[in-house]
Amino acid sequence: MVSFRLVLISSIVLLSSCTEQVKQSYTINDGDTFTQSVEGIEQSSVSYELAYLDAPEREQPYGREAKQYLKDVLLSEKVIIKKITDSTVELFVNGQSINLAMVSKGYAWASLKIADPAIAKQYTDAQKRATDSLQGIWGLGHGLMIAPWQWRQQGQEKAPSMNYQQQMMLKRRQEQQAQKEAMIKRQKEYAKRRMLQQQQKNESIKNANMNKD
Amino acid sequence: MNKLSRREILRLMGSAGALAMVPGMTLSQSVLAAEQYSGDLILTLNVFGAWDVTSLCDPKLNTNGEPDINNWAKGLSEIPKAGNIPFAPIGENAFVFNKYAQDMLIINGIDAQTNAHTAGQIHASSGRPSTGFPTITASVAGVYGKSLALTYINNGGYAGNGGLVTTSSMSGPDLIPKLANYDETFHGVGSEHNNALYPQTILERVKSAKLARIERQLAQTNLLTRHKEALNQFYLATKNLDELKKFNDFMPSELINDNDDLGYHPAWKQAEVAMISYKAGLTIGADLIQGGEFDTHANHDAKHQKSLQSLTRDIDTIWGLADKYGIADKVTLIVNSEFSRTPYYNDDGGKDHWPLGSMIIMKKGVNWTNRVVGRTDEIQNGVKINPTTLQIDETNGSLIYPKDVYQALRKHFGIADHSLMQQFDLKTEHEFDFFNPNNSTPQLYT
Repeated sequence: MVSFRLVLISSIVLLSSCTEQVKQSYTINDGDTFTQSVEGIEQSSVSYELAYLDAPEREQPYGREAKQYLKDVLLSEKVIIKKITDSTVELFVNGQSINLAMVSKGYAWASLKIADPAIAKQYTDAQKRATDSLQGIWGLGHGLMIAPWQWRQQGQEKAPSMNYQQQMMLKRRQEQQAQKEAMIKRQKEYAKRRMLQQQQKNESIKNANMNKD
Repeated sequence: MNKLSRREILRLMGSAGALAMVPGMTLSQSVLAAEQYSGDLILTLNVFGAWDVTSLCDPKLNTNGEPDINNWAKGLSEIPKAGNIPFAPIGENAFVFNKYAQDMLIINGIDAQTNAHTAGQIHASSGRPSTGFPTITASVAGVYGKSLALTYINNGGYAGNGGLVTTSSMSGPDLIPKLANYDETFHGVGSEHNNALYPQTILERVKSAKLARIERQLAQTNLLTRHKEALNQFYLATKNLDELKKFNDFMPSELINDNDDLGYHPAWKQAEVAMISYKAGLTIGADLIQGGEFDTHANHDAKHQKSLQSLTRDIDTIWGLADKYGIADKVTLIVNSEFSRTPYYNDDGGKDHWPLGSMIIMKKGVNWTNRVVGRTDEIQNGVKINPTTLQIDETNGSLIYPKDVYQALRKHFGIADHSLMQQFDLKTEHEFDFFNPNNSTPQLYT
């Protein structure tokens, strides 16, 4: 009896101390992605994207502000995280969608890929409100309002030729390369023809010798 | 922005605008007598393709828990300095930084706010992300030497002049020497081959007849504005061709051979032509093009290191040429790129675009060099600084944008308050005191 009580109390103490150690921590990557980890448990990190929106990349104009907003929400509020898919989530504070709030406050664009028409309309209306009132991103100069998907694509684009001189140099190099390849091809064909001619010559000599015999 | 009077508009239209066509080159000149300009030759060396500043003047070691920024930094724990300037210890950086640190002002953490090459080029060259504003070279040329024959030379890239001056757009640096001997080049007069089509006296009569014909055309009352502008430019170009002959007074027997052993097309000859033209009193500003391959979306390390070598050799050669022509104390060299490259590698071993970049401003014998201002953090994010003290201030400070740099440059060259620049309001919110020799921004590795 005594030993059973001891085991029970020890288990309760152990369980309590384990519960206290389970704390969530967040690493905010940019305005629409964060990583959730359980402190004290290795390899517990899971990365999530906010559903229904696309926030500026961290290095983009207004990227810092979007990241800071998400950080403030995740670290200081009682956030409820609702999973939409395995990797996308919607955040709620006091019953209000933070995802929708980010779009209506100009911290993010509404995603172009929202499948549910009702949700799509909700987010495009929110974006329209932000655009009309020049909130957040929409208050930037026109040339700086670059959609994050466009930013990601531009980041990988090759530079055009910068001056006429370089274009001419590139063209000359390409022409020289093409000439070189054409010459090699001609040489090979010539060698092949020569070999064929030699073979034919050898055969005719052989035939002539056979006829003589 | 001040409203331009009708007279000012007409004056600007008369001395700028459409470029006259001359065989092989686009050139336009002013009929006004050459002004006496005693200021610096302003050269911008444009590094197109987006250089990786973390491998040059804003060096970065790798940070625990973050993707590697630079493979060359593996195993390193220190960054070397030349004077007060940290630099990346790769390629020929040590040579050029040790030699020229005392002549360099580095501005780090410039947020281009774009990662598109063309927009970045325009933004980096003029302080505004869309076309219309002049480059700093065009601005200085426009204020101090509008009437000089080749006041603003552009060898490529964004050549915005804002209507302040005419742009002499070069398809090759050999064109100016040819045009300086216009008669010999195009009519064979005085050439060794004795194939002159016309004697000099006839050529003079042809020129006079051309000018008279253009004058008659200009006198017509039914010309469209654009047509009139073009005719005016052609008139100016034809009338002032003789101005170019001054170039010959300083022309050496042979220009520098601009083929380096790296396989790129360096800016040496472009720089030399600009310097000769400056000595001849024809030029104030020139945009040079660096020929390296900087847009390294794949195989970054090998290609970029080679390109940076080409760039550092360009810098050294340009100053060598300045010494040769005795104008080393009269040259301001601005080295710039549209933005920088990501602080991580992509799947192809390359680096994509990153908006936080740098600028290097070089001048000999002044007290505002051997300094670094502006800053990025360990993973190449911009850091806010106080515009006056240039110290880090994440609460009340500001990021540095190209418009801030250009406003500071305008102020430095004494053109910020000129009436001609008022129409190009950069709308800066802060005035950064970059050229104050007493202030620098603490860097990461000091």
